[in-house]
Amino acid sequence: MASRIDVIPVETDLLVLGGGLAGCMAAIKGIEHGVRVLILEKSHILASGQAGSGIDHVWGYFPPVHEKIGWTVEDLVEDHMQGVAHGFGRRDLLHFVAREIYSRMLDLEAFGIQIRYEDSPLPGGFRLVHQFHSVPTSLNIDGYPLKVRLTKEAKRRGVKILNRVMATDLLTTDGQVSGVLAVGTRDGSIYRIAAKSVILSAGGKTGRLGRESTGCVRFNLHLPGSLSADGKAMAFRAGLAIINMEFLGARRYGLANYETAGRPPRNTWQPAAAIVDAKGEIVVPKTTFYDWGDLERGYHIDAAETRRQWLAEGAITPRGMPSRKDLIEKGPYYVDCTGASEEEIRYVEWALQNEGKCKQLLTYLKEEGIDLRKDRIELGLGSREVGNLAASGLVVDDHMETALKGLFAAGDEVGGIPFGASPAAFTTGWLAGDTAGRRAHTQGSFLPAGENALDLLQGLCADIMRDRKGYGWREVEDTLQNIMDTYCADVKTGSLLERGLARLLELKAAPLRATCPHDLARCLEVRSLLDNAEMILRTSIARKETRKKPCGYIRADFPEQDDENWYAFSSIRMENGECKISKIPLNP
Amino acid sequence: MLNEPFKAIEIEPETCTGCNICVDICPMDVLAPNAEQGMPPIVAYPEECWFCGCCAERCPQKGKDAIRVIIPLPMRVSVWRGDKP
Repeated sequence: MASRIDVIPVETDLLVLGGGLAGCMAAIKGIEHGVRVLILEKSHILASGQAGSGIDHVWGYFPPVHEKIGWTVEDLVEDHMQGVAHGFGRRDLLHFVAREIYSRMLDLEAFGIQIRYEDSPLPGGFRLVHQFHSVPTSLNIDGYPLKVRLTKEAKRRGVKILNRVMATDLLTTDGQVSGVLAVGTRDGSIYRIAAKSVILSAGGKTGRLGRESTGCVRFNLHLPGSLSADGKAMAFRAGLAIINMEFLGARRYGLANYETAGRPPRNTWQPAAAIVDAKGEIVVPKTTFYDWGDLERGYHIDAAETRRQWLAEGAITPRGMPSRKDLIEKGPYYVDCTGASEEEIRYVEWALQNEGKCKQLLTYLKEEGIDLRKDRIELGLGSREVGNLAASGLVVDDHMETALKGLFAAGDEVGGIPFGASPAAFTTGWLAGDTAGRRAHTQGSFLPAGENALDLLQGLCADIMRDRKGYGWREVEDTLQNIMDTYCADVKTGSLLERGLARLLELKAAPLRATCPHDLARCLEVRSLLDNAEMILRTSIARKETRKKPCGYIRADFPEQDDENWYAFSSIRMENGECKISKIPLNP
Repeated sequence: MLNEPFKAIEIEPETCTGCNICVDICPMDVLAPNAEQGMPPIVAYPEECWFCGCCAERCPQKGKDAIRVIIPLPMRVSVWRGDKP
């Protein structure tokens, strides 16, 4: 039966797994080395990834403005390490992202993305708004067409793109990567792709390991529903170490119950939005327009003092987002733009036009007759996610190469950059493309790949398509979400985690069933989710401490933070079919 | 589809030209081309929509509202209209 599935052989020098921001940047840079570059994209490159429906801001160090106020890259790294990461991140990678992002923004400008605005009083015509540093660091960009522009640039340079093909397994030969296996999501074909260098840029995050906020609209998530952390799962199956998996994020809050990327009152919703309670009393005031003062007369933010103040307040986000606890104990809270000027409202509408999923939100608000000038929208809890604040992912060297020679990681696949987000995608993607492209150029020939992995994948796909007694992907995913929400909730205990792991392992043994290639691909996504859940549960059992910041990790049976034993990344990897967990100590 | 939980996407047959750009780019692969050429795509998997709106935004007939994203009732925002709670 297995042999009935077609196998399509493909050969490329540099293979990029996932065509989001990181993957596109990697391909665009990598092809400069004169090699053949192929992007495998599970969805369609024009709308895929977390920026598929846009982004409106990118944090980083922007010299024309920040140098003028005497603020250095080191200041930003310090802010991020102390206030956002709470010491729990890789300083070297943060420094790299912070200092390189400006160059990448200039690249975007060359690719046709607007990054300057005539009405801005700042040097260079840049707009900078507050996000989570002690001075404004988030550069506004017209990011809605990002994926269209990046795709155009990649194609112009000769990058090949295979849409609707999902990478499933890394192929290795003598400790080096030799290619990947993949499945066509529309035709069920199996691809065997030989490559000299491979970049893993499949997104890293997923919002599918817990129920979304309505409990019934499956993909009402702030992350794209297509993100199922396939990259981490395939790296795990290939024996690579993944760090920080236990930090399955706490439920975020956003608009009740419409989940989007931009969450009020900061970032996209600046400067118009305040947060008010049920009496209309202001809980979080709005920011002022640009929040910059007059640069020509000298700028007077004392960054060190600002940082000291917000650290004293204990906030991860210095500009005063209400906590989940506040929302539960003092709610309802509302996003309130009614105190904003018309200019500020138009600014926010511009930002929403460019931020992920928010353009559609604006259309919907208009249809409902909801006007931000007079109506307030309630805040509610949203979905959980893997990654982000705690930055789970692969361990890379300073060239983005992983422990498997020839395999590079980019964007959210890179572990150790808390809140790396799009700046990390742009910068690590570019660097991974550069080093992987160079390696592909110098690597003489393709490595021979064994047949074993191919046989296994063919067998798995054939079983899923043939097994009439198996379970559909929806019921397996629902069961998985029940397990994670019940046994690996925001407050954890060892005994519940152990029970959750036992139930998960039972679920992993349950056969999956599909009747068409579309559902086969969903089954393979569920396989990724199951592997991610196993990593999360096992590392959660191992981390016997509470670490609220930045991870929101709470163990009722170990209520104290234990820096002596656990100021360290956890690391999980598969060896001879067994999971091994170790620690990677951090330096303060 | 009789048992669909919600619509997610509605395509206007009068203005849709059946170009299938939305079918091509949908990140969730929710849409399928109509067997009859030039006719509107089929919303094959409405429950897999993640409401990014790319189908409607990138539609060449956007000006004529050929595609409408319909937000399911449980997802609609909770709103405090006007001055008083």
